[in-house]
Amino acid sequence: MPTDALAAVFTADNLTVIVIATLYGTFVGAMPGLTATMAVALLVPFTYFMDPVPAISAITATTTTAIFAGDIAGALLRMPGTPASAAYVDDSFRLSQEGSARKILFVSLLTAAIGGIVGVAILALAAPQLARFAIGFSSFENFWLATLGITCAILAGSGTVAKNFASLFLGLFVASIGIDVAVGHPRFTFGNVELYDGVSFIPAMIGLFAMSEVLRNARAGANVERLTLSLESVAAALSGAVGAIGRLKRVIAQSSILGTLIGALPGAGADIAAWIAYALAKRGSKTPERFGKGSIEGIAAGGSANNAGVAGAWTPALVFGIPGDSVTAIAIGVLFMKGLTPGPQIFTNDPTLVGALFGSFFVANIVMVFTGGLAILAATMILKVPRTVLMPMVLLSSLVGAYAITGSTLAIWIVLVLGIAGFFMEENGIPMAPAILGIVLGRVLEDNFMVSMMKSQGDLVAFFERPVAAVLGALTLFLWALLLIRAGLQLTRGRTSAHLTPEET
Amino acid sequence: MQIDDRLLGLLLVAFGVAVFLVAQTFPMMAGLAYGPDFFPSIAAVGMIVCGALIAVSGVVRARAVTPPAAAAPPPAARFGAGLARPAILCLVVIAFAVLLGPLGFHIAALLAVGAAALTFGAHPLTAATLAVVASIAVHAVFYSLLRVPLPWGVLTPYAW
Repeated sequence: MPTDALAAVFTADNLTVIVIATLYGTFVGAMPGLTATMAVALLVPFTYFMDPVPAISAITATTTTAIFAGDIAGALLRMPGTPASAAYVDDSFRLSQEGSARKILFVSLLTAAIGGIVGVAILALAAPQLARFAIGFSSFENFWLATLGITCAILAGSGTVAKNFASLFLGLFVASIGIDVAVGHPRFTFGNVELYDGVSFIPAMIGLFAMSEVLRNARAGANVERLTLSLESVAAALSGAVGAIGRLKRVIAQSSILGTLIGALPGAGADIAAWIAYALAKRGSKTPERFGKGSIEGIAAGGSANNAGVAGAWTPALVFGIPGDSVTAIAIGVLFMKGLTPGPQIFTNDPTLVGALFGSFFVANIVMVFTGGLAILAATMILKVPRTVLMPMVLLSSLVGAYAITGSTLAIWIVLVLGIAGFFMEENGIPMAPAILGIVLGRVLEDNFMVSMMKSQGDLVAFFERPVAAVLGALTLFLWALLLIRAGLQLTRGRTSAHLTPEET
Repeated sequence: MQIDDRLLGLLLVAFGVAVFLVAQTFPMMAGLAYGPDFFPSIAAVGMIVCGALIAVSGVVRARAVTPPAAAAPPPAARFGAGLARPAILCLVVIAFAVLLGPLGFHIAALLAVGAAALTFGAHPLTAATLAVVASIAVHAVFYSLLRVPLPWGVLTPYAW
């Protein structure tokens, strides 16, 4: 890492931002019903007023800790604080009922930090190499990459194929609102000049992730959680956790690497990484019968994989400008706001920023060990904050935050409309991840398609003429064929796919 | 609000058709094979196809699982149940959007948080306290710290 990147990481400002962001991430992540994505969506209005490096640090630190802190509510209340903790919530709840709540939370925390650090290391090694390869890409390759990204999101989506696609097309429709690239005609603006630039990204994300969550909580009602737990001493818990991690080295290493790779797939985030790592650990375990009934091995596998996935998701985001999950989708929006375009060029044009991102990610994982430790000690207090107090504050932060970005009440209307849309979609099994990729990538897709068409004068064959484009194109078409077969099967069987994994992380 | 897949599919089809029809009104440029209508039309056709698929799978499932005697409670009974609170919150947001300019952000935030807290079932005293705290917090964080130019509305004479 170049020295100026190191210098950018270790400024007082940046470190302060990281510490505050880890505290904030811990709090939001620990609250059931408040997801990591929501934490980031509410954070964005603040990053708008920061320099690029602290802004990115704030996002990475918040996500990292929120994904860990999801385990706190999972272990103590059996309600995963974020969907990424859902895979092993039964194990951690069972063990905490048996009196080792703190021990398993320390296992969660330390494996999260290990997974995160492995993820960052892989990211820092692989991303520049990929960028070197990707720098020769033209509009044809970029078009296929965006298509491939969207296709992966549909493959990884939690609904049926038809519902995943429906979500994507809704997102693409939202992306098409505003002045078009080819001739400059305003589309679906209904005369509203403010919509000419398109639906502002940040209010859209706040709507989909924060507003929809508030509405869902309003529907569920303000239930009061009860906590009846005896907690063991910190020293015993910590030494127990360290001992357990020593025994589980192999599983943690395997899950960290696996989590990074899965996180790097567009649309597959930390939650899917945790599910798959958990399943794989179970297959390789000497005691698979313990899984789901209190397996510390399962907790270590899922806990390291979901944090590794958080880092992995940045690989496609940085190298190709294609978000790996909802959080990096928001982060790409933030980079655009700062006048930075993610893609292979960012590695040559802005090496300091890229280096600082890796550095801040690393530091955030270290700081998390301390703030997370504090959170474990204060866990029962955090979980006592009633939802009747929390939700109105989330609502107000959403509205004022959206307004702060655009300085116009249009932002509030966007939050409302997309909030209702997100609420309605989730209720009906239409996952949100494909829609977000549609919103982010819609413009990229259209721009690259139009530019390519102008280059080739309307000849579609040009999309397969360059070798890399041909490979990417063929891969995309192959995946589409696979999806068509799956859709056909789902239709004839008349079944919905098991609703295993909620979409957002 | 959970609705039947058959209805959900039809809603998607209807929305897709509407988008498609609007897209057809976009002007075409001579010599361009693909104009501004191309991508919205793809999205529209996609929504129509997916909507149809969802509706058909809903029909297939309804046939498979519904022997007339053991029919699930009619959807009408569940339709809209529990939606009162979300609906009220939406009204709170609309009121906030409309009142933010004229009343200013202090009063708008006060009203919005108070109303939202009551909707969530907070004690009136808690709601009132929370509303005051939230209003001050917005002032401190967004107005003073981040310097967002929030409107003061009727309080403009006292703005600082």
